[in-house]
Amino acid sequence: MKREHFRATVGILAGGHGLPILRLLHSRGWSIASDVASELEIHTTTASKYLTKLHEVGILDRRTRDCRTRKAHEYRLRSPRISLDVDIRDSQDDDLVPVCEFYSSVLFGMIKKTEKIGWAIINPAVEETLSELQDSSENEISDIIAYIDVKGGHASTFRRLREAIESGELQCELIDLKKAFTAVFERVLGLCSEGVGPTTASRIFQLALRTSPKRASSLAAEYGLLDVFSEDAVYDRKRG
Amino acid sequence: MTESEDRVKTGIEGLDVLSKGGFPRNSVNLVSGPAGSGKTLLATQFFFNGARDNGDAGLYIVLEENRENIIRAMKNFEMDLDGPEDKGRLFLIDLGEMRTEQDRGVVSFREIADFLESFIARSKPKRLILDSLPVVSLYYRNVEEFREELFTFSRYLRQQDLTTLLITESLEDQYLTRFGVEQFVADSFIVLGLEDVRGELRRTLTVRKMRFTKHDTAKHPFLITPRGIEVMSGEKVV
Repeated sequence: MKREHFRATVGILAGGHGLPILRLLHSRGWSIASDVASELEIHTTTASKYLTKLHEVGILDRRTRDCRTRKAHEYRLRSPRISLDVDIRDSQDDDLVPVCEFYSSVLFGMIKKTEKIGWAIINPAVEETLSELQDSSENEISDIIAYIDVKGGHASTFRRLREAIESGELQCELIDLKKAFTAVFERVLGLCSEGVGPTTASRIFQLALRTSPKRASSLAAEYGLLDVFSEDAVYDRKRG
Repeated sequence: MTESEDRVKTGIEGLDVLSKGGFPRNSVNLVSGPAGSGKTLLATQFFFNGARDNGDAGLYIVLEENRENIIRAMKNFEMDLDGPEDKGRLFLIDLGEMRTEQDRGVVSFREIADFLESFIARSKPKRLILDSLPVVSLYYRNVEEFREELFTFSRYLRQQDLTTLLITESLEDQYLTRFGVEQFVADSFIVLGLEDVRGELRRTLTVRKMRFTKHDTAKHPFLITPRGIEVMSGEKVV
């Protein structure tokens, strides 16, 4: 979660009517601002302001309902559980490029190794699965995945990500990179486990990790980017 | 199942005659011989001929040689993995690529079984070649442990819809196999030999054991021709 996003979310939840509105929507389902206002005995403008902001930070779903005289927005709670995931460290921006290098080198190290052992379909399979992932992911993730160039390999992917970050074309935080690449690795590990078995898949990843750049590896450990590579995680994906 | 359906032809001239039609279906077979005796060639022919003559998908697991060397060697004997016989039916997998400096051995039988579990479900091979057992043995502390795990692995293989060929080696003037135990676990056992006859090496093949089969037990000469191994089933080495 980006820091501005985190601030906005906490701000609206901390407001006096934030949680009562969520509780109400949890019990009522789809509701318009005037329903909320009359139930909570607050002004419709206040209810409307809260609902709009809660929708903007992703806590509420919104749809348009045709009323007799005009159109109105209806809202409902997306999930009764709200989690906030934010990394509070300040110096992450300098580390974005090395982290990209780490992720890219591990991803393509793994693809190359898998090809080398003779499972030739890994490349098109990864391409297909990333395209599916891009289509089905939220914007923050799909924006990052768009820079992964399966055919061009590590050099091309890393160059594209680096240039996009340095030029400001890709505006993301470390948490976004982690989310995007965790999703990528989950898919690719699943693919690999299906094709060559979880043990071999896990060893392929361990080998790719060992050959990743040293500075990038230490950043990966510092930021906890390695969770996705644990052996248990690989087996879980196989079982899943 | 008719007699011919019960056998898996190797497609190797002469060998199918000696073995009464090939290996028993879904069996675990062993070929042994000293360096340069033609073990890998015999195995690649079994692998390739299955796809060419019967449309059988095949999986060849390399642990020792690298993949490129096997492909190059096969091409020398008119076996082209990119050719029309392949069509996604022949898989040459180099698990030796998994070797690292930290590893005691390349892979264990359990890891190979784990690999097969996924691979069989996806690609449905009918023929499996494992090249070679001595590399897997490096994983184990002693011959007893190796034998025990090989026994479990062979039982697993027989439960699959697969006819397997395992390759092992023999040291000259010693046991018929590297560890002296492999042949007890396998359903059939073929020994390749290299004999010095007046300064020239003569190649020989003997079917030492084949369960459920009244096979020929004599030692036969064989030639390596541009098309691969040709066993002279009508001739015996005395």
